[in-house]
Amino acid sequence: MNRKNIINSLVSLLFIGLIVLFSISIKSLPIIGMLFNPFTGFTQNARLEMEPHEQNFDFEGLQGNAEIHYDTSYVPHIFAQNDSDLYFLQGFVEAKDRLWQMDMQARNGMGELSEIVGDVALDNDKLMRRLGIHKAAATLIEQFKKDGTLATIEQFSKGVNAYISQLDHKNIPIEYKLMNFKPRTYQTIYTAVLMKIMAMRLTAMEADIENTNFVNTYGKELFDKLYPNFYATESQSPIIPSGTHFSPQPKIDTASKEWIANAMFPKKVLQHLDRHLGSNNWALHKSKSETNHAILCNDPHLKIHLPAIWYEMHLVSNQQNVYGVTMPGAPGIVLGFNQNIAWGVTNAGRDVRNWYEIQFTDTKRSHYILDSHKIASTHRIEHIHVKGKGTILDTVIETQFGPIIYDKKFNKNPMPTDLALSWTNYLSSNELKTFLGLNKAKNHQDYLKALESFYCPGQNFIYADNEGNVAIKQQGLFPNTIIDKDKFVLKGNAKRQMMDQFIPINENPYILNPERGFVSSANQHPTDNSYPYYYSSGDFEAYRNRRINDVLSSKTKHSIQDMKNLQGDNLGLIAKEFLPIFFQTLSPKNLENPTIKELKKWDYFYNEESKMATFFDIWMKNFEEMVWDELKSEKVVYEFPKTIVLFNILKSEPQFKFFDNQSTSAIETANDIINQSFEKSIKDYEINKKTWWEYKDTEIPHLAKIPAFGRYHVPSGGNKHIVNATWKDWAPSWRMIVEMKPNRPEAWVCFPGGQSGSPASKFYDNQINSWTKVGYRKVVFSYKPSELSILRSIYFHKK
Amino acid sequence: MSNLKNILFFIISITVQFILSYFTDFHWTGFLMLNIGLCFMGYYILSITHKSILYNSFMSVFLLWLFYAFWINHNNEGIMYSRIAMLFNIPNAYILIFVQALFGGLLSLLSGWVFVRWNSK
Repeated sequence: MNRKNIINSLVSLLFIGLIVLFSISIKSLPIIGMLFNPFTGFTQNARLEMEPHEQNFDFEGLQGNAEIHYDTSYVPHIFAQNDSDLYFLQGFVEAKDRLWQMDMQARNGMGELSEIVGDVALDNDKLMRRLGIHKAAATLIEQFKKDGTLATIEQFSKGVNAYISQLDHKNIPIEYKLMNFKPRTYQTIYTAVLMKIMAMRLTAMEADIENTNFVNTYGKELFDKLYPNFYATESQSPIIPSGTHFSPQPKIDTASKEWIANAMFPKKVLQHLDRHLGSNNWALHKSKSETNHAILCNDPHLKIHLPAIWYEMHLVSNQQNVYGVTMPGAPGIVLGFNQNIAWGVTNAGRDVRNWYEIQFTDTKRSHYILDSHKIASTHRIEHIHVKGKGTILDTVIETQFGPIIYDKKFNKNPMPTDLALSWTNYLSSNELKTFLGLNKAKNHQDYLKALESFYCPGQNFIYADNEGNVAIKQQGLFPNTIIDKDKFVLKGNAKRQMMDQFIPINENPYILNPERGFVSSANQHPTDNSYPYYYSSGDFEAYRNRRINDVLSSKTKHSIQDMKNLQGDNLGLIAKEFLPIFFQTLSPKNLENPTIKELKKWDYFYNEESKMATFFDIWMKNFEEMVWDELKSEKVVYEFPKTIVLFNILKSEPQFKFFDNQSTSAIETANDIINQSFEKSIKDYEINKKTWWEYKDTEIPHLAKIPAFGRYHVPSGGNKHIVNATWKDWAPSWRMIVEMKPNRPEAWVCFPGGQSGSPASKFYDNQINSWTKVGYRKVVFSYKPSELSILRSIYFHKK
Repeated sequence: MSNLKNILFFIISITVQFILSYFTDFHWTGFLMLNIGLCFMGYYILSITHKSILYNSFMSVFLLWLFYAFWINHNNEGIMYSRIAMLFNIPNAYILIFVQALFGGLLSLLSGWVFVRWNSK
């Protein structure tokens, strides 16, 4: 070969080499050539934002012509001739704006994330498969078939797939290009998975493992003191007002110590998925409203991200006219209103999960002991496809109690024993039917009827109608258990331990038009202790409910502006209750501290520029950490008692033994700890004296944590246990105020994000700034397209 | 005369590149294959010199990508480009546009070079 040919070959090789280099994806990095070519890569996602103002599509799946009009806030208003076409178009438009998000949510629940991102998601996939979210979803699909709701999801899925089928490679969402995978055909089970995932997030509240560790270390008496079923009377304002008459209480046994597992459970095993999730809702009867119409307010607090959790839309057919938000991947409206009623939800937070320690007879775990019999377990092999690693197998063992979730082989943090999970999320129910029913409900009988099929997660469904009525019902299927049995890891060796009795649905707490003129809920106790059934939660909230009920009771009538102010209310009740005690116990020297003088002037409001909110937050955190130092173990996991419990002990028993600091020889009391924690906090605070928003540092990350697609350092007031529950990474994910004017409900809304799922769109995060200031956008509830100001229209024709 | 031919070749190249890229769902390497095809056409039909072929390979893609990206970015008010620039630690959208165009231009130049090498006697 001569020199020329060698150079020719080298040049060709360089060319081919570069093409190959820019065409492969190393680890999960994008294909650079595809991404940077402006006709295939991210530039095309920007081009999609230049779509024409009118588009036309023909589809075989449609029965008639239909239209989607985006208004100036990019809210789609769907006008279809019938429900079948309506749900088809809803699937289409959700896919158009949120396809990647829908895909990721489904992959998360199905345990299929590793397939696209590699082994970083393997632990998550294993957990999802062990939890059996996909199996529970399959059960839900069976119920859909029985109830006739399957057709709705099928139409919805057809709509999603109609969108995918006309999608060019270059037009797929940017995240597919960056993460190097492709959209796949949408299946009906993905919608069911979404519902089961939502139920999972809202029911993983219990602290059975932590409680078991505590009771095995400190005994039941101390447990009852620090983790009581009800808080002190003045520290709670239940959903059903105290004093409401219930049927007489039957005698209920308390769980025996012999039933509780003996094991001590290590730290870092059980993640409380989204422990702090919560929500507020309230509704004013027309007599309590300045407008003389019922007003309903709702703000669900969730882990916020971009693309936004919620997708706002308006659905109109010959069967319904409903406005509100849905989760991408779900048909119908989840929270919203129609011309007759409005509804909203908060989480009930009731304990609907039991953990069981299973005694297997052999190392292969083929049999376990139940009431002295050997019972065979069933083994299901899960095939998890991991990008770059092939298929990984995980055996999921099923018992009569439920699947084994944690065991010696669980991920990187093995459990000492085999723990099986019983959970109402596995039972047959139909939560979608509830939402579809509410979408069309005309009155409060329809509302109650719609709730019947809703089992999990337990929710406080609030209601208002155009006749001025208001109601609230805590709905769900809740275990009917003997006292405290649900609070601990139980020995899984006897049938009597099983979660197989449930409180009759018609005994769930419910109230219509109460005397006080309003209904409300904020994740607190649903009732006082005269309710005839025992229940518990790992997380009944003690502050927001009291503030809401105080404000609502403070005036005879409220305006819409009052409702906006209340949703954005930043009063810190914890500070208001603790600080007077703190001031009383500070030493004269500490009282001279200039920060204390400033703190004494503070109005307890967690406004974004407040520095005293920062200081108090540091102080309170240090105080709790120092009080509960006994529970900060490296080896086993405990949970700090609730702040409200600490408050009541502080008031009544300042010599309580937990106030003693374990690391000193002296015996400290509450007074010592208050002073010590103050001295530490002053040092922590004075490092940079941040304002509250800088210190809290609220963020709205992208769902796949792509930094350039998230919003960070978002200035905002509020905190956990405050009505404006804006914390670091969870917050009011949707604020809604609806005035039930007959035929023309009016609504004001805001949410942390935007309508579009595309980071190239100005509608991706355009509502964040207004949301942080608790600013609202008035919604257009229309009957026909001509009533809208239209930004863009899509016309659909039957093929 | 040769100048006119070169200009004609450039106009044909940039137009064909644009039309096929814009209206089809081309693979990302499509523009390179297309450029090699255009080199054949330029050399055998328009008798373009090797030097001009190299020049044309670079400029047609570089300018097309530059102006197209600039136009899209302008219409998009810089939203997507500033996010992607942030993602790759590139200071701003305009530098990203330049980097993008240079990337395409250089690859195209290389494809032209491959043609020229194998085509020269």
